[in-house]
Amino acid sequence: MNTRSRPIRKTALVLAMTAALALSACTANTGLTDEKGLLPHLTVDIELPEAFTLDFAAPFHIRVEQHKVPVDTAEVTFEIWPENHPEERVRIPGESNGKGLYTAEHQLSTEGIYIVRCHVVSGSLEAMPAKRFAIGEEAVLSLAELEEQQAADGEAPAHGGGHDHH
Amino acid sequence: MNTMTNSSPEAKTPDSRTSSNSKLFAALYQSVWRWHFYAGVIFAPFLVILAFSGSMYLFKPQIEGYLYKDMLTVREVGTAALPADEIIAKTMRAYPGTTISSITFPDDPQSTLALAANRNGTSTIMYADPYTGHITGILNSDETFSAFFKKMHSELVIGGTWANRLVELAACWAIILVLTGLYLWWPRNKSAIWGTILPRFNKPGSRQFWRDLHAVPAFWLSICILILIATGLPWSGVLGGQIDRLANATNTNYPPYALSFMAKPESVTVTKDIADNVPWAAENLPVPKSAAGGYMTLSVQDISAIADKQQVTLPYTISMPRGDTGVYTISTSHTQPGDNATLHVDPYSGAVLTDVRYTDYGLMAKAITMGIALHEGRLFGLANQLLGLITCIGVILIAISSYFMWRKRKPQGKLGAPGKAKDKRVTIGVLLIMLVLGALMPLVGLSLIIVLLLDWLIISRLRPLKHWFSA
Repeated sequence: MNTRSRPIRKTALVLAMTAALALSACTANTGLTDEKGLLPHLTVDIELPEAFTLDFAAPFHIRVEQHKVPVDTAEVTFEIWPENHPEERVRIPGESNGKGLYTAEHQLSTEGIYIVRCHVVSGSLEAMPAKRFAIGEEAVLSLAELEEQQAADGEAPAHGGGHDHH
Repeated sequence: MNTMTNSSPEAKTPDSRTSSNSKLFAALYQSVWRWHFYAGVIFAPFLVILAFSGSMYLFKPQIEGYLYKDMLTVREVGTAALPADEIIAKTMRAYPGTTISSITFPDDPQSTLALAANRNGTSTIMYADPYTGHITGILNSDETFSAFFKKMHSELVIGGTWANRLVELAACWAIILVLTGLYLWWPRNKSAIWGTILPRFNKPGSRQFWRDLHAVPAFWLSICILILIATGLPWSGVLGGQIDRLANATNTNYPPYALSFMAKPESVTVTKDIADNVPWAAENLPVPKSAAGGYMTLSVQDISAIADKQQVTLPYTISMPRGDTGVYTISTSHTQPGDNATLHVDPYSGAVLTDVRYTDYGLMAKAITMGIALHEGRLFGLANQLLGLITCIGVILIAISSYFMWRKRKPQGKLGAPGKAKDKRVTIGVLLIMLVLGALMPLVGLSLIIVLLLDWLIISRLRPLKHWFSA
């Protein structure tokens, strides 16, 4: 009797523990969070080439991390298109270089402002950051104006559309 | 007193065995009545204001739906809605000096979008037709019908912390009024239906008539009144803070980031290069041949797509990120609780940083959420609103009938307060119970201390005052 009751007691213990786990899983959403209270998420840092030259392939790098650990198993797609012309979108798969780094190369042949967006998927997590870049002096000047205006919009009430010339 | 209650302790036939007991009960009754009287005289006016403003606010959906019909509904339902970003840009162009802090998407195709906008320093709500992008109307946030009655309900119209504390004080004393009232109402004859659960109308205008109009509806509504107060108190300044601490201590509160107005996380995207990527612009350096910009903020449309992907159901509000490190916030604005969701989304990468749903709430947070919906008449539709309305009308009726009861009894030159109980032990015993309630409700405790000091320092030392207050 004594020897038989032991496994039963063990089973009961396992059951109780499973029940406790199942119950605590009801607040799973808060249990998963990191020290800042955030859910698991990807952080993506886009590194644009130092300088762009027309008709030369320029490398686009991104660094993908989850909770400061490099993610090497992500599916990465770079999308590049001229500002205001999303229909000219070019999709380039990113190649993993290890340590969370992904690269794509792309050659551009006309001056102007471009947008590069990276679609990163790792399991159920997604991120899609984008940056603008400009090739040619005129484009660089308009990009600067654009960025300045955006910074102003983000900080203070808008001043009705950038009439800064007196 | 004999006419006052259906069966006051004094009316009992003297019996040698029970006479000391009935004297004690009479003293107890007297003492409780005295507290009930003073609390009522002081707080009834506030409770009438709360009941009136509350009954108006209860019907906010219907009343505002009627008052602001042209703003809240579209002329014609179009085939497709414009992108929210286009509507926002169009609005900001058409109304210079406007910044939009949030946009609420309705679940009804006939409803307009609500844009929370700051227009030259004034916070307004702008309603936009989602199909045309036209603004259908603009309201000043603090001048709407509901804003007026909300202010009356929480700050007695005058506004400010003092008024808000006064409301809390009145609500807490209302609990004491209900408890002491129930004690006074408690049937002391087993067979007394009349005057307890049914009013006696055979002598209209008599004290008994007003007493029954006071005590009988008060008994019926006592549970509703207590529930209304209990569900309103989590909002209150002092006791609300204590309820919050209790919920934290028992681990049953809202999780972090559960509510859109609580602290928000910061963006996780490295934004260091936003400020310093155009050094040549300020100085007189040659313009470079190429340049990289900073991270682009996702569009409201993108965030809306994320909300759909995360199965957040309409209606919901998307709040714009504030500053470089701010985040987008998606929060539901459902009438009924249960599907509540608040998500914070990185504005550059679209990563969902936090996602707290109703099911993630602790037990007390769930109860508070349900309680708020019940308090506002949103939990079970029209029946909930009507129940709230009946309770509000009841409170006003109870206050009016108590006034007539008092006028019928009030002698000349005196307040007409019930006298102090003869038995000192009873007076002290009841005071101790009051002090326990005062410890549970800090503002009640504070008011008790003030009353006791007033009584001791002034009223008991001045004969005319002592006479007037029956002290």
